[in-house]
Amino acid sequence: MAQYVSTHFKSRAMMTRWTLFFIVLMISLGIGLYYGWVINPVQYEDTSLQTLRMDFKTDYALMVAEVYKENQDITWAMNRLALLGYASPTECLTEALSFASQAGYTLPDMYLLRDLKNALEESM
Amino acid sequence: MNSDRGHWYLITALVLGVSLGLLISWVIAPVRLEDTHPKNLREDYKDVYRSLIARAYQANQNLPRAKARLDLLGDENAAQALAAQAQRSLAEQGDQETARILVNLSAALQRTPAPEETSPSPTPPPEEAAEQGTPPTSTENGNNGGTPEGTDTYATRTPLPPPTFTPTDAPPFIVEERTKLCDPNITVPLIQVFATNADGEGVPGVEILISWAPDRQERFLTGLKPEIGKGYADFEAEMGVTYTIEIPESGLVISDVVITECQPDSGDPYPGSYQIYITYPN
Repeated sequence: MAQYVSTHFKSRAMMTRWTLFFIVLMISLGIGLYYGWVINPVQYEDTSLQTLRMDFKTDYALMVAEVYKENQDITWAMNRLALLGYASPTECLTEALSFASQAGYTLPDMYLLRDLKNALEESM
Repeated sequence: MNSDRGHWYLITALVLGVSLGLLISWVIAPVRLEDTHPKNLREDYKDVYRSLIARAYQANQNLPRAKARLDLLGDENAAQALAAQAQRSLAEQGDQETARILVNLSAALQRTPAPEETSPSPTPPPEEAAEQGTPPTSTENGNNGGTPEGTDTYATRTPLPPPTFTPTDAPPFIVEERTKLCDPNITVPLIQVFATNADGEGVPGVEILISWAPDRQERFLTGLKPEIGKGYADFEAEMGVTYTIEIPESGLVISDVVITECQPDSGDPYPGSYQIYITYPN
């Protein structure tokens, strides 16, 4: 009987240890993921223009539109917009206009983007 | 697990869990390569971005907006980064016009005093500005186009400053002075060109053509070494060779530029230099 009780308690203690082991494992896994994804995520270097955040892409498109207003060089504008990696320059400007409108860009800037978009559509 | 082993199993679980978590978050499933920042761009893309900023500045003459955009690239000294890019562009036989535009923005940045710090954090990009309830831009000439006022947190459009001086709009240069220089601190033979306007201010972006044989010539611009002067340019020459300096936009030709050794009163001779001062006539 004594031996049975001893084995029983040992077995339960073993169970508790495994449970604790997995609980700590899960908590520390969560800590590791949080640190790696949120606190200190992978920092990419040497990225391309295609991976820029949408607000930067929109500002890039706006710069192209600002220059286009002056030089009226549609080929130059298309080449610059192509670097952003969209299927077409007009798609790029549609996205930029959509973001600009959500982000509260001012009307003159919106007009610049719209004028370039119209010019691109006419040239195609 | 032997109960005699104490709590080492918990430490094992902790180390194992954290390691596994870092392995997943840094290697197996890292943060996706999107939504990146301009400061992380590869150098050649940074050059594209920088030259686009300079072109946009050339078009709209909005210096605060250009500054805010340059800040995004994280250059320690934006003016020097622009000048260095112009220098690289010229060295690689790149577009002269782009080099000139880069130099113009570099000079414009140096003309204006550093802005007062309004916030310890970098200027927020449009997205953050929008989240703060502030539109990213105001409009030209103070007309904000229906958006709230006082919201120029990024890429502001303040009343337009006077246009950047471009040498092509100016009268032709004349030679003010040309002189041989003996300076023991200059260890290599240099041809130094100083371009100034009628007020004595340096003029950046002046194209200089230097030739020393029918098929040997090089082009460079003033303002590529902003730390020395906005209107300064130099060329490392060879002693004894006869150079011809040309300012194509002015049709100015300075011939027979020869650098010779300087002989000090005591000590060894050292390479001399040649200084050319060009300016607009009054």
